[in-house]
Amino acid sequence: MQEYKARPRERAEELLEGYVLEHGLQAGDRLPAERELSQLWGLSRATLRTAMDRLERDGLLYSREGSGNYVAPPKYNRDLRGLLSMSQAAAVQGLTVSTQMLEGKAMECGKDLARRFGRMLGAPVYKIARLRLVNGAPLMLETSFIPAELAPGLTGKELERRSLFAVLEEDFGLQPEQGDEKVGITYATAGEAELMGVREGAPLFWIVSQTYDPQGRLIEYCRAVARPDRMRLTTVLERQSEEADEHEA
Amino acid sequence: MKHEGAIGPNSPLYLQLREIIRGKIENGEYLPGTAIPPVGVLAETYGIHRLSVRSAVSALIGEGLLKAVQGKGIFVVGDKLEQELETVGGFRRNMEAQGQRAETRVLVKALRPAGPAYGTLLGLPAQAPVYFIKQLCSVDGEPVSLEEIYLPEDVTPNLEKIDLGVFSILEIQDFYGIIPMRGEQSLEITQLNPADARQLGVEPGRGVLRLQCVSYDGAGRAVELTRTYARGDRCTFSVHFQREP
Repeated sequence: MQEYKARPRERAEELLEGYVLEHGLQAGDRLPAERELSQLWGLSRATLRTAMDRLERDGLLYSREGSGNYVAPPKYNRDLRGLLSMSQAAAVQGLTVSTQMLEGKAMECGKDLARRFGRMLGAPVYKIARLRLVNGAPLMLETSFIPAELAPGLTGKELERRSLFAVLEEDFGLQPEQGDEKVGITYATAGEAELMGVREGAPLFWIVSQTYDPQGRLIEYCRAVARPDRMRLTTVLERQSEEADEHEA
Repeated sequence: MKHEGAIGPNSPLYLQLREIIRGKIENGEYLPGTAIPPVGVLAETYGIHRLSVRSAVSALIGEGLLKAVQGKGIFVVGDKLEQELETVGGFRRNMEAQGQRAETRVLVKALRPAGPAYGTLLGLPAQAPVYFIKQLCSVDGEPVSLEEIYLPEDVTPNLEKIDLGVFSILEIQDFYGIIPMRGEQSLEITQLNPADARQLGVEPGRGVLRLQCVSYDGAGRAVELTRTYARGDRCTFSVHFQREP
């Protein structure tokens, strides 16, 4: 078995991550001075600095000029399994979500949307673009499309204070039942960069989801981009016990 | 996000061309695996500068929609490899289920102390020995992800005797009678260090998707920690969601 020697930079990243985990450091807690850590771990200041930069970009740490390195606030946790609205999910995590309406209008389906909704070209849909902020900081830019006949008169105004799912359910009797979501990477366009407070070309989560009601109708198609330093996506998978039995047999 | 209407007549020409090309890929005019017209032809067709064409093309290469092949042209990339987040199975099984020719190459296989970071995640003391495996996963000869796997030695001992080129981690766990019952996964975006980036074939500074999974057996004991770094231009992750009963 080979002897494994991590590169200094990888060691530094691992040690920093370990330090935060092992000491149970919380948001806003300060790490020991870089000089101290570099002596403690036998790493050069430059190596340590490179590792800090990466963890800062990843949203684990942040540094303040002249004052040191701190643990970043926890990321908003988007649970991929449930149908909790963002505001509900954030409340559980002790975070506050606010919404800035960017656009809310009726439009005609182009080819792509028509195909997706199984409707004719030109069928009316509502397009709703929202900037979602967590504790006042831009997190996600969401563009939702809803067939107009399912939610006649939806303007988007009601969405500044209520979640889209709440409005669809309470005002239009549409029940979000299940759906699917795809996640990848995209790079911020100039417009997205400005709204989200990142540089153009910065990597962002790219999330596309479709939500269906109990009758299997597509009630919402949504495309979103989100800041990876402020959000993580999580899911828990569980093996069914019959599968396990089969496995044992 | 591709806002309709976000790109208009007053947008820079390269952005307008980017959306034209994207549209032609989406509606099937440019088919996956085929080359789009050469830069010179596009420049002439739209009466714009070659540099603008290049900017449009390189933006789409960055998104993984196009791929430049030296001396051959610019090609449309097919659908990305989609990995379901709901199945316990590992890379090879997941890819093979999609009919892809997948292979893994072991880069590192070593016994090391868990250390504070991985120890905490696995619920082990920092000095507990773990096997560390690092492998490069490829599909059709092209690297798509790097996997870092940590297996507690007391759960899967004697791993040095097992050929990882032959057996997957899941099969090995099976030998030991370990059944992962629960996996806690989280998906983030990070950047690789230059050496890993080179290995995976991504430009340093580009984002990669990082999927972390901690697997537990029926008794709630952590049996594996895996961090998968996947190329953003080649991979997406998908999941199905349902209203809680």
